Amino acid sequence: MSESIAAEHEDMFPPLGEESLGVVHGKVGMWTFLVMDAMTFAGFLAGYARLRWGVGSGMWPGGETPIWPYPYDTFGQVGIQLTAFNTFVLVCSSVTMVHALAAALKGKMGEAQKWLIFTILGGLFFLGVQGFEWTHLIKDVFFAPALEGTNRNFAATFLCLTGFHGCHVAVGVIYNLIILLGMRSGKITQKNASVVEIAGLYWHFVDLVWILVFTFVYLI
Amino acid sequence: MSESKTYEIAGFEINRSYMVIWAILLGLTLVEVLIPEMSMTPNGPKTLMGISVSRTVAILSLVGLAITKTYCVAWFYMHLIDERPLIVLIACAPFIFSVFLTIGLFPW
Repeated sequence: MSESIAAEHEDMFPPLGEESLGVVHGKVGMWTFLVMDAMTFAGFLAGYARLRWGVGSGMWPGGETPIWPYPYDTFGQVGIQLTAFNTFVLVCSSVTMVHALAAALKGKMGEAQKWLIFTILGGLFFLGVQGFEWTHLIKDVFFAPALEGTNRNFAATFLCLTGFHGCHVAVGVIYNLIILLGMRSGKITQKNASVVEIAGLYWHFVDLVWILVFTFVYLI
Repeated sequence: MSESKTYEIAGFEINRSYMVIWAILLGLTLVEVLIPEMSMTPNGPKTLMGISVSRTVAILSLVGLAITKTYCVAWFYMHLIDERPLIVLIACAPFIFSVFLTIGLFPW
């Protein structure tokens, strides 16, 4: 249907992008995707917890090395604090995202773009720190010759969980970049600010999942 | 979206309620980081300023704090607070799934 026909018969058609229940189609779609994604993360976390419960506080023969390394000893105080700071950055990027949406809803697209840039920078910072952490852990901790033949379950579950989450952050950064470009070109305006809201849902979900991953993998 | 007071900093309009949630999240993260520093480890108990908590208390507190933080993000930042009950119901599905998964995988 051409735009002119739709404009001519505006009263005959429901508002663009809405369904009968009054919820934007895209939002229902994103929530459905997030539910599926949350279940995948739940499976990862449950698998991690089950493996950890299985060994309890058992020790390797000799009685000095725990079968499941205690995260605080593996990452060290500095490592935990660095990741806590990374968590803080991700939470901050969630705040900038809600502010981007608030600005877009008010039609302040210039301000919304600035908030979105801060969100993207937060995501990139998070990925940078995670890359640095992975490099250190893979080279010096998980695959160190001294640990040859020991339990690799911790390394496997850690890399799967944080890697899967890191992929989500990377996708979120790209998603936000596309939204930013849409704003700059004038395709995303106050009228279709729901697009920003849907992108925000994804970004907040990434933050929400990290809160759980950080607690289960780094702190417990 | 809920209307709340706003103020301006350096040309940016700041929503007060979002910043309150941000401060709560930051505070809870700080508490979370401190808990392992005063709990029992396989290498013995740790103390922070003379305070030490058992491993069970530490785990329960950390899980409680994580759930509180996820609730804050979902309810306020993902705007479930203003959402239709249908969407809230959809959003609750993974939590129900997680409960069954935990019960099923627990080494009874």
